[in-house]
Amino acid sequence: MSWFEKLHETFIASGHYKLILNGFKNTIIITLGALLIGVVIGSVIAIAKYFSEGVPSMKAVEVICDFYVTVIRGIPVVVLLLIFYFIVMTGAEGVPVAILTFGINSGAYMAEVVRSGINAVDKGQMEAGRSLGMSKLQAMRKIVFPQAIRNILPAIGNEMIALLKETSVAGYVAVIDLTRAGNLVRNNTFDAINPLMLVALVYLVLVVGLTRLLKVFERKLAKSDKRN
Amino acid sequence: MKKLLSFALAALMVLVCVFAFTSCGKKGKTLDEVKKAGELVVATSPDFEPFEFLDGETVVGIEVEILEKICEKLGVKLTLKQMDFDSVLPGVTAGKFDCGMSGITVTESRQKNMLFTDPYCLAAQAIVVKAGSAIQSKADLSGKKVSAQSGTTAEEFCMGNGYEVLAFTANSDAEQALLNGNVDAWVIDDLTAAAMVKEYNEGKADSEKLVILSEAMTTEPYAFAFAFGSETLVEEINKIVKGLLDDGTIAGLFAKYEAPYTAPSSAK
Repeated sequence: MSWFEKLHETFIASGHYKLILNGFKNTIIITLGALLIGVVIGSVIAIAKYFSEGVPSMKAVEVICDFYVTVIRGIPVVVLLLIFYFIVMTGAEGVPVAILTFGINSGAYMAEVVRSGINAVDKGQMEAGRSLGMSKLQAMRKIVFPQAIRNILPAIGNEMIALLKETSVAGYVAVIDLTRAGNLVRNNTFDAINPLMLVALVYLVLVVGLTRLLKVFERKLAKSDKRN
Repeated sequence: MKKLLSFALAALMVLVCVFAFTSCGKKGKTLDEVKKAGELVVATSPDFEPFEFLDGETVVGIEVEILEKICEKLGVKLTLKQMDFDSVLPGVTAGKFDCGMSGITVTESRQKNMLFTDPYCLAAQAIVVKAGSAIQSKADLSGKKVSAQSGTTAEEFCMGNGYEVLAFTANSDAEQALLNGNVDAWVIDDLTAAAMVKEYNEGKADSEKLVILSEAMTTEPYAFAFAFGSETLVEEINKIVKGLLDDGTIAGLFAKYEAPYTAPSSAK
């Protein structure tokens, strides 16, 4: 049997390509959902930490933020996923649980990335905003945060790629994502090679696509940068 | 960027071809090769009481003892490798392990891709539900959510019947999904169902118990799996298995683990 005949048998004749397509769809849904949650949580935590650091009246906020980042970064995402599925959100569907878990996990890493971006913006920027009569939050939103984002875009891209690949463990909670779909095809056709290679190829193409998209963004944001 | 992408794709293609060609050969070890190596490397997923399960950190169970006897007769050492069930069969067909042992059901599609010894017992798929469930027979399952272990005939059976299947790497997770209400029923081979449900039900009130529906849905002949190329080895093991069946050793092992025994010959 030639390789192409084997491919046809494994994916097309058996109808298994539908499984792969469905898995692809779930992987994308989980990644995008988790990304959204991660970016929001990350930004909120980072800004909260920025404002609460060294302010006695906001000690509680600082402690909560630190606690969140420490706990989530200290637990492997698979374990976190199983905890959410079997203990926290019992009875919930796999996909929403996966979106939330990966989002919460990613949020902890995003928080550190965003914080480093905010800290890298010169203190004078905030002071300038304040002296123009802006509130602290206004200055953060209009002056500091946009500059921070530009600086950390490569790091956020890294986190996005990591997140996309992390979702490959969603199969642990009975979600048919791309990886699990590939495994299902492997188990049903006993073709040990082609499903794995196809899955690898799809992830690779996705990551390359993501990287290019980020490059475009970076270029756009860099236009207003006088340092270039 | 384009260059990089095309380079990556080309590299992957080459890799695929290399793998595709190397995978064509026969992967199984012959009888002589196993004897020369002095050990039989066996892949197993020890979450399948009473066939293979963990006692402390040792794998024990009916199948373990059968294989120990087989290895004794072959004059080789039994080496167990633990993994999730859905890695067992692909691992065997890829030649990473000499043999697969995990309550493996002989099916037509599996036979096209690997060798099996003669079956040594018969089992069946069973439906497990919570006490008081509306599901009372196989007919009630249509359109319902069902949990199963991934890569098993239970999963295949549920998918084939069009149920919505949630597949888990471990049977204990499939059980937990039923308890948590993620699914309406859990499909698993009957003897393991009996062992796991018995353990769970211990000391619980009737209303909280799990119930195994008595309808036997399939016939599952259990055997050990080998890769193509192991024909001589399988032939030799078949002789030993026949001996163990004839002298009542295997029936005795089922009795030892308090499991009802159905001889493979009663299928015909």
